[in-house]
Formats: sequence, C-alpha cells, structure tokens
Amino acid sequence: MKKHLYTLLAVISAVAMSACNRNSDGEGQVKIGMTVQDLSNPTWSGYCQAIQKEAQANGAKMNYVACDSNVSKQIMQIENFVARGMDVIIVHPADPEGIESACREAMAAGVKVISWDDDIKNADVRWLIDNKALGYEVGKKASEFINEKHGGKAEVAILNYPQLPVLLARGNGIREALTEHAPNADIVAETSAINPQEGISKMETIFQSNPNVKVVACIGGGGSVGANEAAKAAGKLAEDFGIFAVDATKPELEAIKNDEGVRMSVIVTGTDQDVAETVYGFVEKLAAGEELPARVYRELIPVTHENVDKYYSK
Amino acid sequence: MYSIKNLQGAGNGAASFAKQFGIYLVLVALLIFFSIASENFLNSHNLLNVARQVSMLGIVAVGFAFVLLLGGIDLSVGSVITLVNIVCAWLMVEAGWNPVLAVLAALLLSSLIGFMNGWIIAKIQMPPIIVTLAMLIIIEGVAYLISDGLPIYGFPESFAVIGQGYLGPIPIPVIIMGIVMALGGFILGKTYFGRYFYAVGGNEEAAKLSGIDVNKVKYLVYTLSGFFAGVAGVVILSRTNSGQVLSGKGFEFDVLTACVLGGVSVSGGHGKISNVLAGVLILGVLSNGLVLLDISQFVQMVIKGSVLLGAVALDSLQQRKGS
Repeated sequence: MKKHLYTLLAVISAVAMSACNRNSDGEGQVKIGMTVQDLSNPTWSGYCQAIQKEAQANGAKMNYVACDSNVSKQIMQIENFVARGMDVIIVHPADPEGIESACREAMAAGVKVISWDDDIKNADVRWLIDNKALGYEVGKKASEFINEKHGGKAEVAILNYPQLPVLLARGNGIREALTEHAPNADIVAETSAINPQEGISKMETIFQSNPNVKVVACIGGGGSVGANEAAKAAGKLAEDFGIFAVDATKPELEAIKNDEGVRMSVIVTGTDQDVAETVYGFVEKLAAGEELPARVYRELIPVTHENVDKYYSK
Repeated sequence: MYSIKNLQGAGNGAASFAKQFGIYLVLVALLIFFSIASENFLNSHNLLNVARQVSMLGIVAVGFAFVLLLGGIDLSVGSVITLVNIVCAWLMVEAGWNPVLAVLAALLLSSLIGFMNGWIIAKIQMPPIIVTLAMLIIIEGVAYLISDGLPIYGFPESFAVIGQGYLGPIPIPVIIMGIVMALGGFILGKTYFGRYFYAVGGNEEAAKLSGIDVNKVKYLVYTLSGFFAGVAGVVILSRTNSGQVLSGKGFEFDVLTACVLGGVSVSGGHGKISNVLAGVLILGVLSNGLVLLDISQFVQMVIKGSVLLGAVALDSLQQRKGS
C-alpha cells in the first residue's frame, strides 16, 4: 500500500516538474502586484490591462487581481503578493481603514506600496484626485459657456451627490466656480443624481419646473448622460444649451462628438495608456529606490468637441 | 485520474486507504507541486500565512459540516459573518461597549440566528436551502440598516489581537481554528449527540424511530453553525479593523466548497472534521500557490472550480464502487 502511495507521489512530482518551470524571475526584473475593487468594471479592467502591457514592454512582470470590494479578500491578496516577493504593490482599497495593517506589514517587508484614490497612512505614494478642483473645473467651463452664449446670465441646474463625501466636495467645487466666474448666473435647481436613470428623471422634473434651464453641471458621467437623454426627449438641444460633467465615459464622449447636449467632461489623467504610463512611472522610480512625493494629484483634462477624438474610439 | 486507476488496480486495501486519506494525498501533491514550482512557497512565513488566511474558513466549516451531515445546508453563514461584523463594530464604536461584551453579544446574536434557522426548518418543515436563503437576505438587509452601507471603524487597540496577534510564531486566528476544529472533532467522535448528527443525516425516519429527538438535534446543529459563523465574523472584524457590509459576502460558497472537498456528503450522513481541515487547507494552498505562480485571477477561478468538480466526481465514483 505504502509503495503505491510513493509511486503516486513520485508521478505527481514528476508531472509537476515537467509541467511547470520553476518561476524563477529574471535578474533585477521588477515584479508588480495590483489589487483593485472590481474587475467586472470596464474602467478597472482597462487600467489593469494597460498597466500590465506597459510593464511587459519595460521588461517587468505584473499580476492583477480583484477583491470584489471585500476587504478581507484584499488583505489576503496583499499578503500573497508579499509572499510572492513582489517589489511594488498597487492597491485600490476596498476599505482604506481595513487594509492599513496589511500595507504596513508589506512595507515592513520592504515592498513599496502605491495607494490609488485613497489617502491611506501606510503607502509610499498616494495617487489622488482633488475632488474639489475637479468640480471647480466643471463649474469654470460651465461659467465660460454662460458668459459666451448668454452674456453671463442663464438658469443653471446642478446634479450633485452629497451622499458621498468625495462627491460632496465635487459639488461644492462646481458651486464655488459658478459664483466666482459667472456671478450673475442663477442656480435654479440643485438635486442628486448618480446614474443615468436618476439623471433622466431628475432632469425631466427640472425641465417641468424650470423650462428655461440652459446649463447643467454634473458631478459625474451618470447624471450627465441621463440629463442629455432628457434634454433630447424634451427638445431642448440647441446651440446655447450645455451639460458639463466629469468622467468622460463613452456615452458622454459620443454626445460631445455628435454635438448633443454634453459640451465638456473632465477626464482624469487621460486614456488607459496615459494612466498606465503614469503608474508605471511611479513603479520604476520606487523600484529604483527613488523617493516620491507622499501625495500626487492626478491631472484633470477637460474633453470638449475640439479634443474629443483623442479620447473617443468606437 | 491516474491516481484513482493506480490505486484501484492495487486492490481493496489501497482503495479504502485512498477513500479515507485521498484528500490528504491531494493536499500533499499540491504542496509538493507548489514547492517545486515556486521558490517562495515552502517557507514557514508563507505557510503560516496560508494557515492564517484559511482560519476563518476553517472555523465556519466546522458548523457547516455539521449542517451538511444532517442533510441540510446553511446559506446564511456569510451574512451572519457580515452582521456580527457590523453589530460588534457598532457596539464598540457607537455604543462604546467594552470589546469583550461586544464580542459576547455578537456571538449570542449569531447563535440566536442559527437557532431560528433550525427552529423554522424543524418546526415548519421548510427546506433548509429556502429558510437559510431567506435568512441571508434578511440579515444582509439588517446589516445595511445598521451601518447605512458605510464602514465602521475606530476600535480599541486591544481588539486587534484576535485577528492580528500571535502566540509565539502562531497567528491567533490559527489557534482559534485549531480549537474549533478539535471541538468539532470531539463533538462528532466522542459525544452521543455527535453520533445523532450522522444518524439523522443518514436516515431521519430511522433516527426518529430509534428515539432520537430529531428536532432538538436540528436546533443544536444550526445554532452551532450560527455560533461558529459568529466566531469567524469576530476574527474577520479584528483582522480588518473595520466593520463592513461586504465582509461575509459569498463566504457560504467557499465553505461549501471546502466541506465538499473534505468529503462531507451533501446528502448527509458522511464526513469527518479531519478531512474538512484538509479541504480547507487545499483551498488556501491553491489560492496562495496560484498567486505565487503569477497565474491570472480568471485562470484561478477555472482551476478552483475544476478542483471542486474533480473532488466531487472522485467522491461519487468511490461511493458507487462502495455500494
């Protein structure tokens, strides 16, 4: 009986050895592990693939995983990355508070940590969005439109989402820019809308109560896409009507390109390739032992009819 | 597949050996495979890492195995983890309770939920899968109601010991899993009501006729399942240091996988805690080892599903041979 057991184990180990070359890493090859909240979200799978390609092009090795917004799973992934001997770990935290200890242990083990979107304590670099500045950019572009098309006086609606702190900051930025750059504009409606459905129904209601609304400023792409549909249905599309938003999602870019209601949407950092180059830039510097600023704010780029082709592809 | 043929060809002795310890052979094979394939796998730090990662799964698996032995299922374990997570966090942060009291209250709550599952299943004679599915949804809703979907954090520092602490080189969660597993093994092997679990799961009618109070056995088993899920919930809370509504999401399927891998029959009556431990360890070794080999997460999903399918197929083949 024992003999058979040994035979079995011998066969399995032989198969194991032939089936798999021991994953010895190239000398000096940079190894990157990335954990994100959700890979079924096209934005994140796009980023991950682009970064992996960029890493490969530079002779580095990159593996990415999703924790499905589950922080215990993310902790496990970080631990496994450390055990794997990764040089740099990129974390898009499921819960910033929850992963602190895992990131602390990773740093103690000599691994560099990049935190994406969250200002956590235990990281070498935090890559952040300044949400107030982002909202301010939306408000500023909306103000320019009001000044140009309406001589500084127009009825404005804001689609915000104060339920989430980051989006509250964006909403405040929009309001601040409008009062500064178009002081005579009249904000007649301010309500929350996070997705296209809410955007449509809220905008329909606003058109009922304020049919003369000419400018809509939104904290996100969901609201703006909904507002665009509502404006189309209500026959409000005109040269002097404009929606200004954030995210530069595909439907928004399509609307910008086709000269519908959406006039501008801010893209953060740029295309997937731009994101990949920036992130890989951090990786390279960290792996080489260079110091990076603790906080790096992401570039905000307004996408309009003029430059939409650079970001839009069918 | 080579292994089955090989062992079957070797006669009955080897076949029964494989039946009893087959799962350990798979575990050993995996250990050998990963040790050869990855230079980072076989070191004490990583192995302790794996043990710590599977400990929550192992704790829940004991109660879950009891339920499976009975021929039932408890889909609510994941949401019980979530609720315990949220309630315990809320009691410590919002109500300012002492961590020990908060933990005890959360464990009491999880046991009560388990008891309710058992009571409804036994008294109203509803199918366990429906009762516990309904409970899953209800509990998840309650967790959202308490937390508004936001994380709760800022616990006393001492609380982190349960999930993050060590006793010597051994992580505390691993010790808790060891105790729970030993307790589970003791209940099944050495106590009369442990033997009732097998009796009821094997043939409920016969168990009833032989004088076993089947309803009481069901109350007890589901209560234990709730309790152990609660223990895991506390460990997870301490490990993440943050109460989260997603903390237990989908846990029931991992536990089911581990138990079935460990040879617990889904139709009741067969199973051993020692083999469940092997099932739990296989899942942990796979999760860890595949990352060490830089295998993409999507390929990992395919491999894990195939391993489950393979293990159950092996079990079914052996059952058929045996009968």
